[in-house]
Amino acid sequence: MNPSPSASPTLSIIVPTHNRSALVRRVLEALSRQSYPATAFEVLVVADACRDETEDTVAAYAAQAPYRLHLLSHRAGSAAATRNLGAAHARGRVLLFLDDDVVPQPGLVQAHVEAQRQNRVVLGYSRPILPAQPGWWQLDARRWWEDAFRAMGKPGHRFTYRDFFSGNVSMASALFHQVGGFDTSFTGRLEDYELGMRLLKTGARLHFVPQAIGHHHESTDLGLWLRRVRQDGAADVRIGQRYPELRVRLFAHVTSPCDQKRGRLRKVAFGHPQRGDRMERLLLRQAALYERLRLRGRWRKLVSLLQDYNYCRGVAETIGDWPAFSAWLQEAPLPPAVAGDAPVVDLAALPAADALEEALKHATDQGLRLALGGYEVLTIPPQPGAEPLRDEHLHLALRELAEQQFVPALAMHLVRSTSPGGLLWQSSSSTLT
Amino acid sequence: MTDIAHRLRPGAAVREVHLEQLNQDICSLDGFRRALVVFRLRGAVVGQAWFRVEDGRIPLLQIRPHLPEVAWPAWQQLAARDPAASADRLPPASVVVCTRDRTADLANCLPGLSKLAAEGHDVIVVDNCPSDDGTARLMAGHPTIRYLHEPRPGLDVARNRGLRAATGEIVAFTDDDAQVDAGWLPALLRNFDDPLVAVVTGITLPLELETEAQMWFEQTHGFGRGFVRRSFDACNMNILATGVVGAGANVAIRRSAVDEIGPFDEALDGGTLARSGGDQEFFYRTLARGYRIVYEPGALVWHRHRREWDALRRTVYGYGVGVFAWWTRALLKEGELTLLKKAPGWFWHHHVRNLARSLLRRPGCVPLDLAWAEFRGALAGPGSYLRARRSLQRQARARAANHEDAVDRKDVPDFGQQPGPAADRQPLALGQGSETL
Repeated sequence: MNPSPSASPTLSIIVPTHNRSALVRRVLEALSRQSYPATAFEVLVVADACRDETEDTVAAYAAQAPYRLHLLSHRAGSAAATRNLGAAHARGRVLLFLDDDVVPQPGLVQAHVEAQRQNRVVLGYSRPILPAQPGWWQLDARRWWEDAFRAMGKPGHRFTYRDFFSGNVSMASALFHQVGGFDTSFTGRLEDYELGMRLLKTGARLHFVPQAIGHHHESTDLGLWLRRVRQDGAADVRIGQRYPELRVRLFAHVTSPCDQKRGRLRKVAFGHPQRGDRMERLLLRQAALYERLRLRGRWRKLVSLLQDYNYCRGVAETIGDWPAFSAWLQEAPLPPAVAGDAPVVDLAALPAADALEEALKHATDQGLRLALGGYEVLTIPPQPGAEPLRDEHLHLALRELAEQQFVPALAMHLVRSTSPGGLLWQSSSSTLT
Repeated sequence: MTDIAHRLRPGAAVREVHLEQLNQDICSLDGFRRALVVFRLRGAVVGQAWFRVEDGRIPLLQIRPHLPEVAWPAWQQLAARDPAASADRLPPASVVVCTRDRTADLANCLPGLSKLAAEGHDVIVVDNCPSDDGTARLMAGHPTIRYLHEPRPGLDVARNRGLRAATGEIVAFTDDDAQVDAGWLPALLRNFDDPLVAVVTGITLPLELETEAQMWFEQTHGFGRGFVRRSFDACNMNILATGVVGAGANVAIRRSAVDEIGPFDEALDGGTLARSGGDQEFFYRTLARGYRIVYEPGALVWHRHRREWDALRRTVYGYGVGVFAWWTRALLKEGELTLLKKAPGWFWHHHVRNLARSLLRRPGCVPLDLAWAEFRGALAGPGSYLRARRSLQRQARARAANHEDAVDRKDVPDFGQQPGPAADRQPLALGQGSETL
């Protein structure tokens, strides 16, 4: 059944997995139902320390797959190393990373291939699918994901390294190898954010394609997620070590003032990171009880506390106690403010296109001031970890500024000054739209 | 209406004012003491205000101070009309109107519906357990509107029938005693671009306030929820207080989300012992399943409140029953244990207090018989729901037995239904109320 191995595929799909043979099988079947011709891509399943029947399942499916299917396996215990292994054996011009719990819908591969014509990093839409009896945490997670994707889909969204998800993403193989692939020192989490940071530093363009739909079957629950939050704390320290310019902003939510309860939990997290397990178990049980009793407000507060605690604990386990953490933060530069000599763009006297482009070039590092007839209306500080500032970002920022501040004020002014006669209303309404 | 011109009428006039053309006093309000003025700007409703009518007119100078209030809604609604969002990017929709023995009201509703049908929308009238063939005969004259006959009584039964029969991705509902405004459907539909929005409600304004009963309804149980768009979810509101979200007279539902949320509970709302609450309970489940509900004031429906005092009292009684009926359901079926505290709290702070204020004739209190009706309704709520559910289960059992008999006789089961698509004949649990609204 397999097509001849001589022809070089345009696209290599890399599916890393660990002991989830049923999920892998579902992904492989979905990949054989793509609108894009199956002969034009290859699939590499990379099994990491699998002790279940994953390898047999893939080997068995290879005989009937309409695409070329390769199985690689190793024992690394690391998603970063597993994806890198897949990329090292891939022969396609484009790499598509697909998680084993993201079931591609029929148009996914086609959408990635089409978007790749512009040679960008293409982020697909991993639509969260809930289990049959979703818990409250799963409902919240779905809202978080959907809102994140909706924000990315807004024209003019300024991508940051934290928009880079590795579950449904494609990029040119050359680009992946040029930046050096995933960093294998990130064994647990956030290796995708770190790669996103390096990609943005090389000037890669991130692009969200809502047509590249995969169904993300979320099976995480509150307890498992809190483990991950702890790993995130540790991984954020590593990101902060590598990129000091991100450090202060990255941990702003830990250093910001908080209420007593939260403060006490942070003390436990930083002071006795090894001793909080019992307390956490109790709090988790309390959260489960709140959910049983449908006490939504209390549950939400408690989960927020637990999240904070676990994040701090992950930080503490990596960097040490609170004084060590503060000292480490103080080594880092403060988040940049708008420079004194930052370019100024006056909307009432728009510069020529090339002058605007020049201003934007400097604005990414120095920040930008937007003025209207000499009055400053908006400042955009330099944002480390975000893509270079482009005019479409300005459009979105101005549109939001207009919606939130200008036009309501304008409407208020017009209504107040309306003389009882139709004329002003007509002129005002045509100004508004 | 039947009043003689020189006597003052008990109610109030309802007038729309287009702000673009507001350049003189509002005239020809003879016979009215009060007026509700609805402000419109480029078609959108942006505000309302009450005025005292003197000599049949409202002076322009009295209107002007109200205009600043409409600035924010005016901007919001104009901004929402994204010129890039053309009609063909909106999801396909069906419109469902459930009716029961109100042929005359339905006839007023039909011009708006015919227009929607002419625009290519799938429009359905569900005739719920009619006592005569008046509605059927009326609908025979409107071939562009699909007519469905639903023999089992109950508003929620009819709504579910409409949901099943609808072909659109979105199903919009309005009442038979309501009239949709131009731009109603697109305004509802444009809010569904967020995949988490499962329900969009619109603004419902009174079509007329001719009688005392209509005035009191508007003041105590009116459907107006303001002129500013709002988005609700389980994070930003108490999901057991769904009254703020809107009402079933003006609502659109994403059909694919109904699989997760579940259909309307057929033991609730008109035609059952529970009398109302079906829409509120559905909103509650929508929010509890993690979805959002958007209140969209750009989608306007004019509702004709009951004119007679008796009907008003029955409706208010029904609202009292409905709230406690659906709360009983939420407690028993969804395990909302906080209701054990919240429901008595609400009963005390709302119903008991209202009744006491009416007894003491405090200023601004509701008429005693309305307060008493709602009070009694609230007390009857939990029991009514339980009885409605039991009667539903009995009906289902009877129907199942009937079905088996029919199968034994190798007969097509005939429950007095008109032949329809197979999906419409699923033996769902039925709600057969002995009392009707």
